Amino acid sequence: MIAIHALEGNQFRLPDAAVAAGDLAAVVAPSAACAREFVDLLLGLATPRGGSVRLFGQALASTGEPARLALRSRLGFAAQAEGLVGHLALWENVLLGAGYHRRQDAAGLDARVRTLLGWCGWTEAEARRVLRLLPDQAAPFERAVAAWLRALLVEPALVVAENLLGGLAAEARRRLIGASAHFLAEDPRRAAVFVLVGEAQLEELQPTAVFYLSLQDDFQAEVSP
Amino acid sequence: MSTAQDPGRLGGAEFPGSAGSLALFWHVARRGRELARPPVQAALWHQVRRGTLDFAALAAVLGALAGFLTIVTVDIGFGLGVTAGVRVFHSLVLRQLAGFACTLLLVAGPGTAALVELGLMRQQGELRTLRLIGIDPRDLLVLPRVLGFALALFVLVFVFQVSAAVGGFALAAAFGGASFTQEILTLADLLQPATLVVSGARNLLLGAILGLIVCHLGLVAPFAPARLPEAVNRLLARSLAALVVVQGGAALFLP
Repeated sequence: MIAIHALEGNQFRLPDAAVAAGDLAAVVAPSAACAREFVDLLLGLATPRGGSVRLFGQALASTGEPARLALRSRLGFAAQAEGLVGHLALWENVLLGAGYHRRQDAAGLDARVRTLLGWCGWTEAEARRVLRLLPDQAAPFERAVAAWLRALLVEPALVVAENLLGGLAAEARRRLIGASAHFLAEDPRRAAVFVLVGEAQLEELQPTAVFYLSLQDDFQAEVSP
Repeated sequence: MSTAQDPGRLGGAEFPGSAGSLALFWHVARRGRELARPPVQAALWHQVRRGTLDFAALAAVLGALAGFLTIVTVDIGFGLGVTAGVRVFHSLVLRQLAGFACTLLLVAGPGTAALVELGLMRQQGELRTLRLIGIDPRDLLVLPRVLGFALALFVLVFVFQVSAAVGGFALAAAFGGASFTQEILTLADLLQPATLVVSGARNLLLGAILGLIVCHLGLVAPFAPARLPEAVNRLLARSLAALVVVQGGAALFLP
């Protein structure tokens, strides 16, 4: 699903990495900015300084934006920070991807949302209360669950999570990781990539593969005086 | 915080190939079929509601006042009679003032709101999120707004015109002693189907141009919350220029 060779961003480099069906991969970034840049390069939002990325067998370097959008429509993306559209309620955010890509009819989506809510450990009453909120009214875990539901609702072959677990309580992380395990177990052709900031959540996630981003030699982080 | 530029926050990077309003227009013109997607439809109706329902009452009041003052001034104040009063009303209020007033309403309310909303979405990285979930931001943000502004201006001007005729004439009859029936019949003689069609088409075109200006300033042009007053000034100046060009062109070249 993913094949990366000698990838170089402005801030990091990653020698080689591959994610196949059935994998739960973790990519450990030294900072949130590195994680963000990695996702941009992985999903074709930016052009790397060097190296190559193949997504679903296609080299991103040789595809234009319409083809990249089509590739991204086959995967689910979730991020806790900046991962939702601010003027839409959480339920509108949850349905945004599936509605836009017309994955299922309304009844099918409703049934699937109930299943996914169960995986995340939410009762229907709790979900009804929370999903009416705007993202800036919701707690970090509630935003993370909404982003996660949106990603899974498009029935993706590949899920990419950018720093989704950062800052969450242990119980909240456990519920999200459990939901991910359910999703992968449902279909062996699926895979997931968790881009983490630091190694703290590696033990809980128990990934099948781990890749480390290393800082570029010429990259200098800003230092507060 | 890194010293590296964040490609997701650069205006041009979010809209590959979108250099200006014309590029946005070209995109909108080619992507009409995207309206079949439920979130795009929802965004369109949200924009139409915000542009019309919130301002329809104000447009109706302004229309009735404009009609009343015109009839009272020309017909009764100057003593020029019903025919002259209704002719001035037709030329001035229905054909010019309605579009002018409703354009200002639309720009000052939903236009400014949409500009700020789009600019903040760009600032907060939400366009990046849309692209990462396989949605072209132009389909979800530009297309519904351009069509929504077009429909909103069409409806607002219609409300203004109907209210100016019915409400203005009724007020003039109630407070100025004019004949409501005679004014309505005189106006009916003046109104021609071609004029109505041209008026409707002109408002749809002008509304779409306003939507393009809003989207360009919010999504492509440099934007920062601290420089919001400048962006709003640019929006107003460009909208007035579009109004003058469209209204003036229609007045010069069309019936």
